[in-house]
Amino acid sequence: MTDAIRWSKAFAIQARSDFFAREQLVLGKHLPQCHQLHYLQMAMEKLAKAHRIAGGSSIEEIRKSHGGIERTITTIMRQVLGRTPGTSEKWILEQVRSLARRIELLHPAVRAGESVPANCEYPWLDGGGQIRVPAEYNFAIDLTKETVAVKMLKAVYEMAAELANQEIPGDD
Amino acid sequence: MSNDKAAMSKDEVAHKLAHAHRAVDPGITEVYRILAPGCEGSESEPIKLLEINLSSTASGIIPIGMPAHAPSGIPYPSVIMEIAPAEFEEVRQGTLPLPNGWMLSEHPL
Repeated sequence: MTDAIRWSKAFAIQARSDFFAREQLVLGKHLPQCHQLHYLQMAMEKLAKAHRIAGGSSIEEIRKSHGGIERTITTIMRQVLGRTPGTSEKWILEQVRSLARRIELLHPAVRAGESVPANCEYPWLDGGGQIRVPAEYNFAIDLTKETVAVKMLKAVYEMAAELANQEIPGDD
Repeated sequence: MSNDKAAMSKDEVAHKLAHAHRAVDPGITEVYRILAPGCEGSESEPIKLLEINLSSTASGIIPIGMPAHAPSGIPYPSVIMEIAPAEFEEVRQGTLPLPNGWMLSEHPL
């Protein structure tokens, strides 16, 4: 159990660092959006892994997987919204699920049956036979224009902080 | 045992979590408590919920751990598993086993 908490905490700490790195990239307004989206995807994936380890998955299982963002981020959002009695913004969950799925698909290994080859890291061949470059591609994910993005980021930052600050039994 | 834990049993907190999740997610149709035989008496054993969600796509059982959050009245850690309705049928039939030897409770919360 203690080992699981140590790993979960470690993944959460690294996720927070990736979120911070993304914020720095967002400030670099002349950079292509693929760079900040790459860090966003990596941060979300590490946070998802931190939660899966906390849920009992082994580190070996976690290392093999790049997915799980959609389900984990939706679950985080539900948990955080549920902490406030009387919350009735039921539209949020579906929009968060959709946005989290789009973020999950930014990883080159998560392809949705080849229907979404676009990714933040490597050039790919599109449906029309053209080679596409992440640095020149419009991913159409602008978190400043997504209605739920602020709420989603607030929730994931909150949960990342809680997991990063977990106490390890027996440690001073 | 902390005061928060003394004030609310795991069963009460499980009901509270299930209610809170249903209140914010219209996709959830049912929530079942999942039990770890022989371990539920331990304070450190998390509350485990299986949530059947119409919006979920079938992708297996992924247990997601959540820390305790005393300020909102959740003094125990929890593990949430969201599954699609078709997967729940497989869980009931035993063709999609729960991890770690966990057992499905008889009735929904």
